[in-house]
Parts: sequence; C-alpha cells; structure tokens
Amino acid sequence: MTTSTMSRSLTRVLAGLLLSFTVASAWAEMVIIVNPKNPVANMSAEQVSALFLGKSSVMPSGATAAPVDQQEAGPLYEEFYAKVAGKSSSQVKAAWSRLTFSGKGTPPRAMASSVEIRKFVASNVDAIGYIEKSAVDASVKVVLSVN
Amino acid sequence: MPGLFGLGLLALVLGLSQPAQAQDFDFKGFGTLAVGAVQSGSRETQLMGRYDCPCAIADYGHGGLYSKSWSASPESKLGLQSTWKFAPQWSATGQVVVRDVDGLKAGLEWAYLSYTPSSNWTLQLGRKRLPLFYYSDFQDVGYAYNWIRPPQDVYGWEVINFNGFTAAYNTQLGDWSLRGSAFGGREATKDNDAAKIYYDSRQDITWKGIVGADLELANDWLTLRFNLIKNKVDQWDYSSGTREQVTRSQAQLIYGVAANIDWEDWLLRSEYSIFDRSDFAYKANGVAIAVGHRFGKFTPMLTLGRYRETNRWAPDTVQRDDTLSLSLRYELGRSTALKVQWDRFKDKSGPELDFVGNSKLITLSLDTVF
Repeated sequence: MTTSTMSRSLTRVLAGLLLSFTVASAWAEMVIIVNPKNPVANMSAEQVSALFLGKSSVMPSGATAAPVDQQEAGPLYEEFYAKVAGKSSSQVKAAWSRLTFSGKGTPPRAMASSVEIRKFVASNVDAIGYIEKSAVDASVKVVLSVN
Repeated sequence: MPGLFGLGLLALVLGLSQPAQAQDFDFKGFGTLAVGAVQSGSRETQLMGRYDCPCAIADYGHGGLYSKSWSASPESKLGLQSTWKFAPQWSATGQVVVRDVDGLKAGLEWAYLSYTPSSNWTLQLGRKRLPLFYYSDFQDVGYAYNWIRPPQDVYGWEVINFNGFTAAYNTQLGDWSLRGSAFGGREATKDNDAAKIYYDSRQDITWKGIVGADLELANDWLTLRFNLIKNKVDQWDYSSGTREQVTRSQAQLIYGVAANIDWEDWLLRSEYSIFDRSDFAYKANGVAIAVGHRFGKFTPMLTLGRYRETNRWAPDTVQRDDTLSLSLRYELGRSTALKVQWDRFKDKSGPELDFVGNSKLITLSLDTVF
C-alpha cells in the first residue's frame, strides 16, 4: 500500500465515520403511507421508487397512483430518494426533466409538511406519500418502512 | 404549421395569463449555454460553401457545427414549456425552443393535446418529437443527461419532430415498469437543416406515413428500450434553381435498442440503431457505448461511437466515422450542471465522399432546468 492510497483509505474511513454520525442524528425513521382503502398491503422499495421517479403511474394493484412529495429543502426528501431509490436529488431532478419536457409525466406535487401529506393521503384513495414514523396515525396505512 | 404554432402559442399565452397559484397551469423551462471550438482538424476548405473548417458536427438535426473560433451558437438553447390542464383528463402543452444555430430562431417543438382516459393510457394529438432514439424526445434538455450532447454517431438524422398522434400505455409488472407507445403522422421540412451538412443547395425533405412503436422496460438498475419506425421519404432538390423531386415515396425502416444501467455509482449507456434505406440508397448503423462513474457531484464518462453505411450502388461514397469522447458533469447547485467534453472524431468516409474530416473538439456547457 502506497502512502497516497493509505491516506486515501484513511480519509474514506474518517469520512464514513463522520457520515454515520450525521446520518444517525439527522435521518429519522421513515414510512411510506397509502390510504387505508387502498388494497395494497406491502410495497417494495422498487415499486415505490418507480412511482416517485415517474417510471410508473399505477399501483401494484393496477389502480392509479397519486404520489405526493416532501419539500425538496425539507429533512426527509434527500433521505427518501437516497434510501428508497438510491438516487441523489440532482439525479431525481434529471429523471423528471426528461419526463416533464417529453410529455411523459409531471413530478409529484410537493406539500408543505408531513401533517399535510398525511391528511392528503387519508382523504385520497390513490395517494401515496412518505413521512416520519412518528407522524403516522390510524388515518393512513404503512406499506413500507425505511430505516 | 401555423395552426399548430397557434395552438402552442395559445397554450403558452393562456398559461401565462393564469394566476401563478392556479393548479391547472404550469410553466417550466430549460436552458443550455454551450461554447466550443475545434482544436485541430483535417479539413481545410469550407464544407458545402457554408461551414468554416476545420470543423466538427455537434448537432446533425439542426446543422450545428463548431469551427476553430469559439462559438456559443451551435448548441446553446432556451426552452419554455407551458401545460394547461383544462379538464380532469385533458391538457394542452406547448414548448418553444430558441436556438442560434442559423441566426436566432424560435421553433415550436411540441404542441399537443393530451387525454388520459385511465391511469394506464395516454392519448396525445399534435406536434411532438419523433422518438427515433432513446434521447430523442429530451435531446434539448441537457440537464437530463451527462454528456454535452447524445452521441452524434447515433443521433444524426434529418427529421426531429412530427405531427400526428401517440397512444401510450404504462403498467407495473412486479418490480418492472413497462411503457409502450404506438404513433403515426408525418413531417414536412423546408430547407432541411441536417441536409445543409450534405448538400450545397436547399433540400426539402418529407417523411410521410410514419408508423412506429416503442417499448421501454425498467427496473431500479436497468432500462431497456426497443423501437421500430416505418415511413416513406420524399425529397426535393433546388440545385438547378427549380424545385425538383429527387426521391419519391421511398420506404425506410428504422429500428434500434438501447440498454442503460445504473448500478450503485456505475453507469452504462448504450444504443444501437439501424436505418434501412436499402431500397433506394443505403443501410446505416450507429452504435454508442458509454461507461461512467459518479463521484459525489462529479460524473466522468468515456464514450465510444461508431457510424457505418453500406451502399450497394455507390460503395465508395459511404459515410463512416468513429468518435471517442471524454466528458465530465459537475452538479452546480440544485438544478444546474456544468459540463466539459472532449471529442475525437475520425472521418473514415469515402474514398469518394468528401466529408467533414477528422477533428478534435472541446466544449463547455451550463445546463439548467427551471
């Protein structure tokens, strides 16, 4: 191992440690929620990310999906796309730019808060959203948990 | 197309006149500021008495070439799009793109009515991009991809848009998303821009009876696209001073496949396309393969492109070329990317075809969406 690769791996370890601390403190436990009337009981990360990246506009049950998003600057946005879709926010924006300007779809509407998202999902059968686990109540159904 | 232009303009004006908070209207845009210059090249005389050389082709479809002096004209563009949702299942969309390739001009790229009878189906009628290749329908939106331009060994054709209809279907099968479409229509071009690279006189080119289909399958790391298009070509030449039809209802068949992989931070982009015009001229195939890796905000890519023609009546006048490209994308803030790209183009055409020549091209761009 040369000095440069050694210092590089050292940097990587340090960066990893630093990242794990920030992650532990900043990233909350998150759940993907749908309306209780939605027949879907569980969804995979792939199925959820397909809806939020515009690859699909239908639920696994065949029903229409109406995804609603968190604010881009909010605390959950980046975590959701990183963990569920494995994408950075610029990759998400690039994917939606393709669809928006070629008549294939429009990005999910961003709502102001988790409470608003929960209310929207509770009152719309087709809706799907993501909120902190602590913000869940009986008005919505959890189809996927993300840690 | 005054009718369609009117429709697009109407959509834009109606959109703009709506209060910004109205949910039935949205207004979006994209822009690319690209500057480039040929570092060196083998051709010393003008191409078609029009382009200064040494030169490099950056945009076949719009006839955009760089020469030795730095220029922002060949590839810079500004696009504005407005969608007006005037009923629950209906919308009208207009998209205007301003370019400076041959003087500052605004072109209506999209103007269509969209009807969504169910979550699976979308029907569209109007002016759209012809989806010849994977990147065709968002080729103008530089922010949406990592190069400065999609590989021109594949993306170099004379027709960009068409007027007609599209029926699109989408569904989810397990972890796979499926999107398919069937479309039909025609496109008539006057003084065709791509033909400016090949003819010194004006050419009018019409693709009529366009019938095609494409199918895209995607899971979280793999995207596959297949397409098939059939149509007839008419062409008129003005070299004698009068309009003379040189091609009449000749059939062509276009088909291709694209495979893209996003595996952790690795990415692969590949596309293979065949233009079969063997009934009246030639058969062409273009292939491009790119490998890249994301390092945080940086995405470097290495791309190889190759274009080959065969012509059984004039085997010595075929175009052939190879391109090697190195590109780097950097994320500059939330919706802007800075890119730099170096292309080495090897012209292997001929021996009887006096084409664009070898070149080395450097280009920088700033791409944004808003």
